[in-house]
Order: sequence, then C-alpha cells, then structure tokens
Amino acid sequence: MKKYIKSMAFFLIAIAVLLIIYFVIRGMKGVVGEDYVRGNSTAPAQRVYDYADVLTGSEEEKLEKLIAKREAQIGCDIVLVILNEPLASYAKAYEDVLGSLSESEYVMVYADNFYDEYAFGYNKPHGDGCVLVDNWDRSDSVYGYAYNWLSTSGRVESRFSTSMINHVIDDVNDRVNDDPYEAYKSYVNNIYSYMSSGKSASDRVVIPFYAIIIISAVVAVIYLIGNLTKNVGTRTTASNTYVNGGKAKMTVMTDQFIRRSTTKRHIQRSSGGGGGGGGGHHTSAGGHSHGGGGGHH
Amino acid sequence: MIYKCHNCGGNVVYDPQRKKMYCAHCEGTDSEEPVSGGGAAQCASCGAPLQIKPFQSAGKCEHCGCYQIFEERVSGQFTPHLILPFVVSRQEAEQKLNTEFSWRTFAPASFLSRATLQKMEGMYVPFFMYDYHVHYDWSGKGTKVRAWTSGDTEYTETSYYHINRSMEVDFTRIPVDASNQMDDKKMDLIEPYDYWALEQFQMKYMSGFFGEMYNQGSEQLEPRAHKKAERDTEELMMQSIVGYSTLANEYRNMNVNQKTVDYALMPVWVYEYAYRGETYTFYVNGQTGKVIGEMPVSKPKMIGYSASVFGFMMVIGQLVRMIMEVV
Repeated sequence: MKKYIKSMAFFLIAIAVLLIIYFVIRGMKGVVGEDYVRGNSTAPAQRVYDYADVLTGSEEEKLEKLIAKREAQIGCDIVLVILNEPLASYAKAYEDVLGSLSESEYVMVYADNFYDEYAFGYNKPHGDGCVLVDNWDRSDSVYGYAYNWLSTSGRVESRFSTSMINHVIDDVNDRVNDDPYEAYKSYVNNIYSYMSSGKSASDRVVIPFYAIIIISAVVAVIYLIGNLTKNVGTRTTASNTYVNGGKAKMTVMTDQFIRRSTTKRHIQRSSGGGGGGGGGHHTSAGGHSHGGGGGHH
Repeated sequence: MIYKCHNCGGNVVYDPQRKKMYCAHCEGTDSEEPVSGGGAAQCASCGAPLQIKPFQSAGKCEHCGCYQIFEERVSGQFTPHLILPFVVSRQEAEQKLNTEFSWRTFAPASFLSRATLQKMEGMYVPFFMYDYHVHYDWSGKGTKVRAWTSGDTEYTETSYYHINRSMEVDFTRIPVDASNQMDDKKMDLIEPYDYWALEQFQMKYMSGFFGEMYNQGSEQLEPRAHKKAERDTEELMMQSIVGYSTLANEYRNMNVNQKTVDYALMPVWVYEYAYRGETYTFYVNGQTGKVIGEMPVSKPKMIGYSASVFGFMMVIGQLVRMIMEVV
C-alpha cells in the first residue's frame, strides 16, 4: 500500500492542486460578479421581447433567467427583440438624420431606437448593455434575407470589435432557423464570455469527453511500457576506462584543408498581409452613441 | 581448509566493514588460524559431506555453516595474482537491491523477502585481465558545411579536408570473467572496478564467501578482451575526429598486441530470486555496489497500477475541463 501511494503520488498531488485551482478560480469569479451594482431604475425589467412568437413561454422564461444571471456577472444589460414585420418605411423616416440606409441597416435603426427609448443600461439609463434585434420578416429584402442587428452601448460598445460582433451574429445565424432558443442562448453566453474574459463561448476550448479517455489511455500505456523495462544496470565504462593515463597518445593528427565550394540560392520572400479594421461606431437618431453590426439568415 | 578462531574455535571470516578478519562467535578480530583438512569432499569443521560444483574454490558447509576454502583450487597453476577484497557488506548489498526495487513499480512484493535474501552470497568471480598496446592509423576525407544568408541570398559553403590520425593506446587490465556460470553480458555491465583496491592474493580474504577458479584458460578467453580493446580504440579514434558534417574513411590499420595477463578474483554479491518457475539472478558489484539484473514483472501489479493511472488521468482530465469552463 505504501508503495502504491508512492507510485501514484504524482497523480494524487496533481488532482489536489487542480482541485485547489478550481475552487480558487470559482471563488474569485463569484466575488467579481458581486461587484456590479445596478444603477438604472428607468428601464423595464423585461429583457426578451418575442413579438414574432418564435419562442415558447418556457423558453422565454429560461432566457430571462439566464440573462438575469449573466447581467449580474458582467454588469451589462442584455436585451433580445424578435420581430416579424417589415421595417423599410419605419427606417426610411430617419434617413434625413442618418443618411441613406441599405436594406440590412433598417434593423439597425430599430435596434438603436429600441435601446434608447427603453433607456437600457446596467449602470445608468443609456449605459452599458446591448440589444440584439432579429427580424424574421423577409419582405424588406430583395434577396429574401431575414436581417438582424446587434447594437452595443457603453462598455459593451468599447469592448466589442467588429470581428467580435460578427462572431456573435454568426453564432446566432448558424442555428437560429433550426433551434432559435439555442441560437439566442448563444448570444447571451457569447456576450457574457467576451465581457468576462475576452473569449467567445465557442472559442473556449471545451475538451470532449472522448479526448479525456484517449489521453488517459495513452498515458496509462506509456506508464505501463515505461515501467516494464526489466533490465537493471547500464554500461558505466567509457572507452578510456582501461586506458593507461586515460588518454590515447596521438602521434599524427592533421586536418588538411583541400578546397572549398560555395553555392548560392535565392530566397523567395512573400510580402506581409494587412492589419485588421475597427468596429463601426455611429450616433443614433436619439443622439446616443452605438456600436454594432448585423447579419442575416 | 577453514579459518578457525584461536580464542574460541569459531569460524573466522573477512568482514568488509571492519576490513579485518572477524569471529562472529567471540567478536574477536584477526584471530584466524588456518586449519586444513577435509579437502573438497568433506567439511573441515564438522566432517559433513560437501556438495561442491566443478570449479568451486570456496563455499559453505550446508550442515554447520562454516566457510571453506579448497586450497588446491587457489594454489599452484590456479593461484590468483590479485584479489579485490569485498568492500560492500551483506547489509549494504541488501540496501542497494532495496533501492533498486523501490522504484521498480511492477516488481513482485516478495522480491526482497527475508527468506530469499538470506540465500544471497558473496562470490569471488575469476577474471582474466589483459594488457594491450594498440597502434591505429586512420585516414579519410571530411567535410564541414557552413550556411548563412545575406540579403535574399542563402550561401552554403562546403570545405573539404584530408584527415590523418595515428594513435598509440596502452590498455591496462581489460577484464573478462572466466566463469561459465556467470552471464558474460552481465559481468561486462558490472564493470568497472576501481583497481586501486587490488591486492596481492591472500587466501584469508576468501573466508566467508564463495569462490570459483577459472573455468577456461586465458588464451581461450583472450578474444573477448581483444574485442573490447578494438571497440574502445575505435571510439577513441572517433572522439579525436570532431567538427565534421560528413566523414569517409579511406584507410585504416589497427595492430593490437597483447602484453601481459593477470588472474584476479573480483567480488560480486549474487542474489537469486525464483518467481513463477523462473530464476532471476541479480549481481551487486562487491566494491562499487552497482546492481545488475533482470527484474521480474508481477502481472496483477502491472494491470492494477496501469488501471489506477488511467483512472487518475480521467479525474485529472475532468478537473482540467471543469477549470477551463470557469476561467
């Protein structure tokens, strides 16, 4: 038994250390979550506005609960609006303020205005938060697209780059037609992930269970083979062990240079690529700054 | 013959820790008195018949436990020139085996049981030690390659050399065991011995141990030492040719001349362990404590320990997964 514990000491210590790390991180995250104090009593408590009846009642409830939990953890409002109505005429009314709008931007006008009108923001009205407006109506689009838009404000606006926004939108659009609930859940979790750690939920490396089985099996086999070596003792004599004085006497030792040849080769160098771009920031009709980006499904 | 204590009549043996002759009965030192008699057929102390192997020169009476030396096998043409007295005591040899055993995870638990350890015996193994003078000429071609870049161009420069070497090597006492029952490879691995401790042969050092006389003559065993001299010379030559990317030999000539040969007795602790019908023999260098052998593997342990590792790794993997989820 003593020998067994001695042999397994490495694994037992590793498990103990990982357990400690796990609980320390969990403890730290819990404390951080409590640091945010809600400073906005103007905005409504509702976060999920399913005007298109895409979600069931229980799904809406589950999303509301998830959003409440995530909002407290990151200190940002997460709002979801699901529409199924043409927005062309609604948006065109704002063209004199915002300039000419393309069909994909109608939903942007709606999103910005929605956020502004309800005065969302975790820290204050028109403060930190975001809204995703997903419009299932396809009549606005010459291509038959259903557009959506993620409008960001405050800390969310300054945190999210174009590529981060695109990632959130793409994650939604990848599955919204098959499973809208899961798609909207990914929106909430992605906002939380990016705000808490700078990684999206899908960027987080989740080790699949089969990988753990394979790695464990490989380690066990290596352990087995490593301990299977039966031979005890290796050669400990050197070539000079029995040589008088430990050294050979060199009577001739010449390294005569004969000739030298040099070959040349031209190296092909590729020119470097360009850098990334920034997020598009604009001011809404209500006069508040928003970041954001959209997509379609 | 047998060494008896002139104080109490007990069996006096050589004690590696005291570096003296010691009587375990009266705890006297250097009180030995050679008592001849019996020969190889019967015990010089109690007269019981002895079971002696063909080349055995020293051993123990199974009946009274007295250590015997068979003089006629260590005298005349069989007189060793040199002996290296035991330095590692029985307890130290046991300790060395224990250390080796402690990190052999799959070794059977009974590997170092009291009962089998008691059967471990110290043995003076016959060795021939050969002196050689070697002359070695070597010549050939070598290249050195250097590469660098300047701007967009990569240059590769190859330099050609003609290499000439001649070396003289004096080998002293290349050992070869002269016992048929000792595994040659294991006896090669048990080297090296520190020759500073070699002494003129004295019979009393054999008291308390087993021993053998040489099984074959020095001429018959010489080729093994010869090969070792050639191998070592070749290695020394290659060590003197350094810094080349490629080497091509054009001429080589090695002359190995044997000079003298010594007959020596070298100390080895022999431990035999029987496991599932097979005997595993371990050797402990009686001077340096180096352990040589082949460790048996216990299948239940092998399976149990590996399964444990698998289980613990699964737990570790799961924990890593949990940590990555909360980060």
